[in-house]
Amino acid sequence: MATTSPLLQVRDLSKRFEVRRGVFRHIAGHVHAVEAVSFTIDRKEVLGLAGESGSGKSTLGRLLLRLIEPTSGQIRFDGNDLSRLTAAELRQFRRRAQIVFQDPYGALDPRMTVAEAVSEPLIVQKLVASPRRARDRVAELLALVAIGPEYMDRRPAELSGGQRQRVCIARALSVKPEFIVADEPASALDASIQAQVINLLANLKTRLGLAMLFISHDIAVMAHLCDRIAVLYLGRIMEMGPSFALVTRPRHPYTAALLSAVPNPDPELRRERPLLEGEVPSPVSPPSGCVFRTRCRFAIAACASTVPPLRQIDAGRFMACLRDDVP
Amino acid sequence: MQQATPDPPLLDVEALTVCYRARAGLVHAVSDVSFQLGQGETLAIVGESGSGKSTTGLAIMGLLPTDRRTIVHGAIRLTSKSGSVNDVLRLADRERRRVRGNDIAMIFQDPMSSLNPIYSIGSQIVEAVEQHRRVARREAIADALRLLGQLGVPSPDRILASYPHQLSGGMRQRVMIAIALSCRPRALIADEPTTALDVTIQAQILALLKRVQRETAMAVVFITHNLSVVAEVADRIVVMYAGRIVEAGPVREVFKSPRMPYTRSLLRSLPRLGHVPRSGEPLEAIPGNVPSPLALPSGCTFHPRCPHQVAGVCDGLMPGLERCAPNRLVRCARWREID
Repeated sequence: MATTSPLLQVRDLSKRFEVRRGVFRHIAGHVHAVEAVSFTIDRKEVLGLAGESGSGKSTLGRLLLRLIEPTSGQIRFDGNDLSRLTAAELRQFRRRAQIVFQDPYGALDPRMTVAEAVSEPLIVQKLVASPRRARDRVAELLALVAIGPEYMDRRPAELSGGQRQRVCIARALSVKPEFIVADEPASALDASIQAQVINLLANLKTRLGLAMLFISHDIAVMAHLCDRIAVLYLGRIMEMGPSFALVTRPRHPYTAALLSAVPNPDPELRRERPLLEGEVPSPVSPPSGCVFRTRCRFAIAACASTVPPLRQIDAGRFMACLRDDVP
Repeated sequence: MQQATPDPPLLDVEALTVCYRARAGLVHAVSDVSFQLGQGETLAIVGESGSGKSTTGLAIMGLLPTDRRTIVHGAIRLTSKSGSVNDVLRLADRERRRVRGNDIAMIFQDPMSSLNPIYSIGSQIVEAVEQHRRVARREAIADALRLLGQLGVPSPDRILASYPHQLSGGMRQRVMIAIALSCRPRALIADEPTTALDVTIQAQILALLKRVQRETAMAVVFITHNLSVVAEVADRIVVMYAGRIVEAGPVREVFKSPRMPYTRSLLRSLPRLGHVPRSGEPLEAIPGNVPSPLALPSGCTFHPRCPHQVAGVCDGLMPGLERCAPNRLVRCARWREID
């Protein structure tokens, strides 16, 4: 059964962080970071996770890798419940699922050489017999991310941002994972380098058959890499579907607003557009009903009382909006 | 770049060069940069890290270090409200402080580090107002409230009483804009003002800047690496690479027919929502890396990454900045051939 079921199954996943106040640190409230989120990621599939800061996208990425524990809900990786893994199974899971962070400056130890950084997971996971073997594997991995072997003994300070991110990707790949969480991997890089990193990830997906959760606030970049996109707002999935269809024909008012906020690179098409007013409400006290209603142009009375369920509107297409006639 | 007018331009940067003496040698941050800016105009300076775009902005504001390690050449002439023309680089400190804020103001990418964490927003705006105008405190506060209201800040009195850490990134940037506008400057230098913000908040701030500009005829130098933002806000564009201008002209023309291969590649690497690619279609990428200012390539500094480079032509001499159309400049030895 393991090969036909999705690689990752997430059901009703929630994460609340306690907000503590006062001398006695009493619990003053909860940050609703992720609320009742369900989705699947197939083998060799890239799911894009779009959303503004504070939408809970990074928290969700960390939950999937069990870097933090969920408040409720279930994550199954290759059929196994992540919360019930034994220590040995968890170690095995850490080999199969890896993460690439946004900031390649913070993610590499400045004192370690490139070879040391890339081979560290191999040594931790006891996947290489000798340091010499590790070096051969490191050279292979660096070739995979288009970094020459002459960089093996250099330290991060001698590398550009793009090169550092490639090293981080090589390190994540060192243990031959099946699944990678890429948390804004290109956002901190220069314009000409961002495209390089996106293309590299797309290339690795095809060559290595990787499944990925690609987290970004830039929905325009996502269409190039992702098979499907999920749009997150205040910890809830607003819309989910195949990326091309979702980006060209958004169905949820929030997705439409997010897309219209992306600046258009054609000066001939400069236009006044409806702006999404205000800011994301505090996740400590999210609005009742639909959490987006306070900024939604199409909100009706029912939106304040009913939490819209994520419902199927087309093949593979889901959205959480009460209305069918917008945007 | 425009036809000769009787009035001098609001801002005239001529042959600006900025070098730093570093232990490893002389670092050319900005080399021979010239451009002009008219009233109400928006000029975008575009470049990647190390292109010299931010250093250019700091030089215009007179904010470069004045120690012996920093070498600055050229002239930055600014026409003040009174009509007198001053070279920012040659003003005495006191004069420079008067120009700064009064005639020209600046906003930065990270409003958190520009605001003082231990003073309330109100006292920081009031301080800016009192620095330049002889007004009573009560009047300065009223001014601050009015400014925030104009910038679309909900409940300005609550914002005035709060501290920077209590505000969101978008709200902090609005406060910075309020401080910058408090003395009604004639020009604003905006250095990546929306880079740290979400796209939805970026759209709000860009719309806000456009509205302020429409109402006050303020000129804006918009420093950014984001060409889509340039397409939205700017009239003219200056593209910088490794400290030099490599292309300049009206935004519409440059976007329609870029001449310099670097500009071409940058424009082609933009993800476009208008014609969305199917998943798996690669983005056009520029190979290689931005060169280190300590080890600049010979000849045209872009040649190692350029698809059109020819040995013996592009790696020899640095090509000059040539006029390729009435309002356009390009720095490429082969711009006539590659079309």
